[in-house]
Amino acid sequence: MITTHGLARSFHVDGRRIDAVKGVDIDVSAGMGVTLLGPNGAGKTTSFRMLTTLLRPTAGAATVAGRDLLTDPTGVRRRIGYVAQGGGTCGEHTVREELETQGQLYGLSRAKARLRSGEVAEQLELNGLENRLVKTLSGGQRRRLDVALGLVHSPLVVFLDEPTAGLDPQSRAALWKRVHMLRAELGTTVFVTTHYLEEADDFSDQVLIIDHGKIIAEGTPEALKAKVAGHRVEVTVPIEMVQTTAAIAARHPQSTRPSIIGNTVRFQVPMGDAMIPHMIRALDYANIPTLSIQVVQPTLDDIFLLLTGRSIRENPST
Amino acid sequence: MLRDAALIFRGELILTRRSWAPMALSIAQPLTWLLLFTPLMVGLMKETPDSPTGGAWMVMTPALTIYLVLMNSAFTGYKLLGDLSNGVLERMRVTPASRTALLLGYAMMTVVQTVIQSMMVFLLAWALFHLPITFAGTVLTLGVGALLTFTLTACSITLALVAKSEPIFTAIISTGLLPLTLLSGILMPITPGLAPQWLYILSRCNPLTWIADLTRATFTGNYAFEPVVIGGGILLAITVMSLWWGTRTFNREIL
Ligand SMILES: Nc1ncnc2c1ncn2[C@@H]1O[C@H](COP(=O)(O)OP(=O)(O)OP(=O)(O)O)[C@@H](O)[C@H]1O
Ligand SMILES: [Mg+2]
Repeated sequence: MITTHGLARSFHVDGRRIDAVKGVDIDVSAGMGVTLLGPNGAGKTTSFRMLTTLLRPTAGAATVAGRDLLTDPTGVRRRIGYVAQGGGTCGEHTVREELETQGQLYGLSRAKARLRSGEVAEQLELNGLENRLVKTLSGGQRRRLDVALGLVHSPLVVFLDEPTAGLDPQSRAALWKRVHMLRAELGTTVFVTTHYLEEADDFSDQVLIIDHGKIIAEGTPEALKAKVAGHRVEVTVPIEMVQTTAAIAARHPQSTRPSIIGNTVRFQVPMGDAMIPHMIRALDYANIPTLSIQVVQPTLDDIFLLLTGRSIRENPST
Repeated sequence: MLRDAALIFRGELILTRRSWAPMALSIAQPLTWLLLFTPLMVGLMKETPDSPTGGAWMVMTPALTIYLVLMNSAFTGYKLLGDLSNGVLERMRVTPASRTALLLGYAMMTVVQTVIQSMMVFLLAWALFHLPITFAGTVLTLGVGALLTFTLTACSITLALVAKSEPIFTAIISTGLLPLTLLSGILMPITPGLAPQWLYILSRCNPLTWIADLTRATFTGNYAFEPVVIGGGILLAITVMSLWWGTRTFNREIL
C-alpha cells in the first residue's frame, strides 16, 4: 500500500543544509497498522508530508495506494486522508460545515457528505457539537475534529501525525478503538506517528523506529522488544548508597549496561526473576536498606536506548 | 473543477455572512468617492486641455470601477496568509481539488464584492446625476471589472504565498499599489497634453492604463479599435498569465 525507495528530503535554512530525512525505505501492506516512532526532529512529519504530496522529495521514489507519488499526485490525494500534526481547521466555521465541505471536496455528493459527517462525528464523540463554531471547541475536541476530517471520505490509507497529542485518556482510547474498527471493517491502512510508546505497542502490526532521518529498526513490537534480550532490573535505594549499589550490580556476571537515574540503579539481565534473590542477598550483606526492587519487561523505549544510547522519553515533546 | 471552486467559495461566503460589518462598510466606501471626489474632477476636467471625450462623469464613473478592483484585490492575500498559518490551506492542498479550483475559490469572493460595489456606483451615478448609462455598457464594464478583479486577486494570493510573511507581503503591496494606481490614470487621466512626455510613456507601459481605457470605451459604448482590441487583448493576456502563475504556485510545495 505504501512503498518507498530511498526517500529523502533536505531543507536549506540560512545557507545551512538540514537533512531531515535521509533515504527511507518503507514497505507497508494493505490493511496494516504502522507506527513511525522517533524523538523530536527525527523526520516523522517530513516523511508524512512527502508521502501526502505536500513536500517534494529531494531524492527517491514512492507509491502510495497504488499511485506514483511523483507522477500522479492527484491519484494519491484521492485515496488518502491526512491529519497534520498541527491540524487545519477554520475557527469561524461550524463543525458540520467543515466536515461536509471536506467530504464534498473529496467528491462525495452533498447527501453522502452529510451522512458521513454524522457518522464520523458520532464515532469521534463530536455529536452535539455539530453546530458549534470551531473556535469554541476545546483543544481535545478540536483534535478529534482534525481526525474526523481525515476520515470523512473513507480513504484507503490514512496518515495520522500524532493524532492523540492533547487528548485525555478516554478520548485516546476512543480514538484507537475507532482506528481499530476502521481497519477491521474497511481494511483501511493506518500510518501514525506518536510519542506514546504504549500506544505504538498496542496499536501497531509494525513499528518503524526513526532517528536523525533514518529508519534504524523495524518489525512487530514483539520482535523489536525481543531484540532487547532479557529484562531490566531497577533497584531503588537511599541516594547516598546508590554508587555502592551500582558497584554490586556491576559485579554480577550477567548484568549489563548499568545506569543510575536519581536514586535508582538500572541494569539489564537475561532472566530478571532469577536475579532478584541474588541481588537481595548481596544488598543485605552490604547493609543497604533497599527501598524497592523490580523487574521491568522491555519496552519500545529500551530498543531505542539499545540502538542509540538515548531515550525517547528523555526528550519530552515540545 | 468548478464544483470544487464553488465549495471553497461557499465557505468564504459563510464567513462573510457571519461577520458582515466590514463587507457592508466596504460596499459603502465607493459612494464616498463618487460623491466627494468625482464632482471635483468634473470641474477640473472642464478646464483641462484635451481631456478624454464623452463628458467628465462618463470618464470618472467607470474609472472608479478600476479603483475598486485595485483596492479589493490587492489585500486578498492577507486571507491566504491566515489560512497558511492555521493549516487550512495545507488541508485543502491534500484534497484532490484542482489547484486552479483553489485559486478560483479563494478569488471569487473578491470578484463578487467588486461587482456589487461597481453596480452601486453605476446605479447611484445614474439616479443622482442622470448619467446616460446603457444596459450593454454596464454589463460589459462589469465584466471587464470582474475579470480584472479575478486576475489581480490571483496575483495578490500568489504573491502572499510566495512572500509567506505578512510584513513582506504588506511591503510589496503598499510599495507597488500607489504607482500602479497613479500611473493608470484612473483618478486623474494622464493625457499627452497634461503630463510630461516621460510620464505619459510610463503610463502607457502600465497594462492598467489600457484596461482603464477599455472600461471607458465599454461604458460609453464607444467601441474604437485601440481601447477595445488592444485593451481587451492585454486583459486576456494578464488573466492567462496570472492563472498560470497562481496554479503553478499552488502546485509547488509551500513550506
Ligand atoms: N520547513 C522546514 N524548513 C527547514 N527545516 C525543517 C522544515 N521542516 C522540518 N525541518 C527540519 O527537519 C527536521 C525533521 O523535522 P520533522 O518535523 O520531520 O520532525 P518530527 O520527527 O516530526 O519531530 P516532532 O516529533 O517534533 O514532530 C528537523 O530538524 C526540522 O528542524
Ligand atoms: Mg512532527
